[in-house]
Amino acid sequence: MVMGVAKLHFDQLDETLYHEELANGLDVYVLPKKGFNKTYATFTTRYGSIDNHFVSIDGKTIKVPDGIAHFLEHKLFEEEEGDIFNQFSRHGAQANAFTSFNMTSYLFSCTDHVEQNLITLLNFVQNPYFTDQSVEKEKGIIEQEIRMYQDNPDWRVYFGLIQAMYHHLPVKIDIAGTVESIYQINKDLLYTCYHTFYHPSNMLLFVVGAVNPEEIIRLVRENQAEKSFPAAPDIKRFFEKEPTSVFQQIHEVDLEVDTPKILMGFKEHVVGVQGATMLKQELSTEILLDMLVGPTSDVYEQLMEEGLIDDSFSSDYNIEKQYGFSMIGGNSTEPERLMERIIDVFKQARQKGLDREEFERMRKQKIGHFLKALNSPEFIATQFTRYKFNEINLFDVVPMLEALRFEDIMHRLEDHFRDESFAVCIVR
Amino acid sequence: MHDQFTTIHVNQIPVHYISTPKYKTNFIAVYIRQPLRKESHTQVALLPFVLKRGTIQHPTAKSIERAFNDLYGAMFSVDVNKRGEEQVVAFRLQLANEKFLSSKEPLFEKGIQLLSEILFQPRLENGHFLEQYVQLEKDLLARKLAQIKDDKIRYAAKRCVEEMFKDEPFHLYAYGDANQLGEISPESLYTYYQDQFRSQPMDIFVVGDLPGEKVEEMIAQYFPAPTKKSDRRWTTSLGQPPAEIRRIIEKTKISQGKLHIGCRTQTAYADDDYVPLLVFNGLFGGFSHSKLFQNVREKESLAYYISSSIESHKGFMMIMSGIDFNHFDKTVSIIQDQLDQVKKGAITDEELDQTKAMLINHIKETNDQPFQLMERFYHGLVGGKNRTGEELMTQIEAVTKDDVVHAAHKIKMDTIYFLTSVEAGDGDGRG
Repeated sequence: MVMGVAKLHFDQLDETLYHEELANGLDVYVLPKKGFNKTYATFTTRYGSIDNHFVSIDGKTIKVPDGIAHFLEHKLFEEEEGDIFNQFSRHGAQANAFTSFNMTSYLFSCTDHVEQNLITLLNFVQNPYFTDQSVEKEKGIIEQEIRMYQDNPDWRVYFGLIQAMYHHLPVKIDIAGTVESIYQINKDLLYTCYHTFYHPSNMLLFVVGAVNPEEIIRLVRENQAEKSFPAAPDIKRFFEKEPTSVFQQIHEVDLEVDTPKILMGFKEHVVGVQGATMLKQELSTEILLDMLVGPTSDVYEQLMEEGLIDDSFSSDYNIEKQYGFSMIGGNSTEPERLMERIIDVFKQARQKGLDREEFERMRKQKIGHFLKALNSPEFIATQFTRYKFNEINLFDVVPMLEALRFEDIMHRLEDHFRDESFAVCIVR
Repeated sequence: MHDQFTTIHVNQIPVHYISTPKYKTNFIAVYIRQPLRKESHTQVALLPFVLKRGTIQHPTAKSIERAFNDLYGAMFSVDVNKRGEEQVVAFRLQLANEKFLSSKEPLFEKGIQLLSEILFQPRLENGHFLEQYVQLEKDLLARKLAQIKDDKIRYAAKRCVEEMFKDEPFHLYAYGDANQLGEISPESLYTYYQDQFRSQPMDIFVVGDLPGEKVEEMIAQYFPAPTKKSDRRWTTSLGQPPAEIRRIIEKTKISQGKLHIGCRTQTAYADDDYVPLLVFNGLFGGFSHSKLFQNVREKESLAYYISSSIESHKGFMMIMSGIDFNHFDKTVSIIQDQLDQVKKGAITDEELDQTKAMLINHIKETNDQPFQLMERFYHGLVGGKNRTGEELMTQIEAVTKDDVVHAAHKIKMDTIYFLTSVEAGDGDGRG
């Protein structure tokens, strides 16, 4: 028997999750999936593009160039002996990484040699190797990545809305930075960020798939025991105080597109919540959006028939500790008219109230979609990690959905959809 | 067996199913194929969207959407694709398995029933589709087609194919041609649906925690036999590489140049060279250890994305990359040089082994994704050769360096397409 491994069984979903917090503070989770061929692993740090102002590992308060967390993600793949992708390919693993506002995640999927690939993942992320030459070389590549996104109108409208909403919070800065800012990045800055944010106690490893959970945890424990780390640092981040108002009500972007794109939404003023409170806020806001503007809402059909929307029209809600916002929109030949109609939907709902039956229907739909998502190892690993960083357990989603009350939705309607927190971005 | 389809015939329709307890949902797909033809391809693209606008029992899109929602958020989607010179319409449905729910509604049966309604019981007026629905879907399709221009990578890929296959049906876009929408009426579309669409070969796929008998029973109950017997056979012809490589330069407002190079592989799905071609593509531009990724991106920092991919039936390979406007000549010459290198046999054992490991991993991963398993099986139907996952893996293992070189020798660059900035000079990118 292995000591320290906690087993959590979720009856309704027929899943068992294994967990151990290692001596160095690393959280390891394993979810075995019977009958699956594929194993998917993510190794994630609580460090993303918004963490640009902090006390560094050597005790200084610093502000780093935009895009550095993403730059660091690119550069970790390089080791003294060359590109780490080669080691993964040798063992048939597809490796990748992504940087978001709040986290940086390194991952692989494979069907064989799980143990070797897992060790490769742990070792390359925990062995930074930057040279002046390799840092310079990366700038051209990332410049092209930034330019690719500049040509993408969906990305422009998405970011354009966040920029309209926020005055100061670095969520308004493009994750990859700008062509100018990345040229300020150097080897020393990368090491500073690395040592500040990549301590095991700030990270989470999630493995899901065709694995023996206790074997995997033992392997990770042994790998970590071979390495020495300084004491877990207390990470101190700084964020300027963000007003509840939006920065700019209407943000227009000129891109010469054939069909304009519009995204509108409400900036969340209930921020700073974590755990069950946050999960409840997230799920009830999503259900509310589905009820009001989802594909089965009255207005969706009308807007479609009037030619104001097409099947790109959708809504979404994003909530993290520091910020949150809803987003509604898509392609529209008459974005201003669409905006007026959507504003009216919220006004009407506030006046006339909501339909209880529609709430039940959307709750049911959400449970079904969640079950479907549990077929996806990518979803499980990524969403589990994101939730855990916000003190939420992924497997509490179904019970929480079942426990939601109509009043919770009504409450959200009054709370989130306020006129002064409304902003819109139009790309045309 | 979790990844091998069993095929039965129900009401003359081939039904391919896998019974497995592996997933929390059940997966259903209906594929309908027809030859890709200028005169019909826009109607084919429009039809499924008109069908999902309304049925006799569920007369509006909203009521259909609601009916799916009531089945615990069943996910329904439609897409239209090219498989060589065939146009394939696929309807896909994913349903929660009632095993995991407190309610015991027969979700699978209700799902099949709804799918059947959409296919066979469209809402009609005066013996044809609803004027209003056809008009709406024509508008939506026209907009979808117009919007391709806004996604520069997709637009460049589409333009490259149009130029390269100018004189072959393959140049046609799966979602049709906006110029033909005007000619389509509710009557003509309904006639096409009755006379052609209903008699085209249909395949049904089911993957889930269901016994074969249940699948058979449900299909028998809800899927009628085709109206006419279709035993027509049509094939995709591989076409010839041009005497000289064509170069097309287009300009638009853009911040990065989009380079697309179309090549003729002269190898189709059923050919012996097909598996070596897969290996070739993997080591040439399919993975991050590939020649293109290593040389264009890692060595020269010219691009963020650079890759090659294979179309399995027309003998088409596309190389794509996003580069600085001024790096056109340099990038093209590196790509050409890398292709020549492989033809000369500059392949290390390491590259070959890595590529095989990656391809085999991909096949095994597909075995966990029912809709992708269906796609793989369907490629075999279209290509006229069934290769199971096991067989594919064995064949990949057996590929030698010489096999790859042999497949590579048949590959000819055909069309180099570059979408560049109106502000970029003419100096570099001239053809």
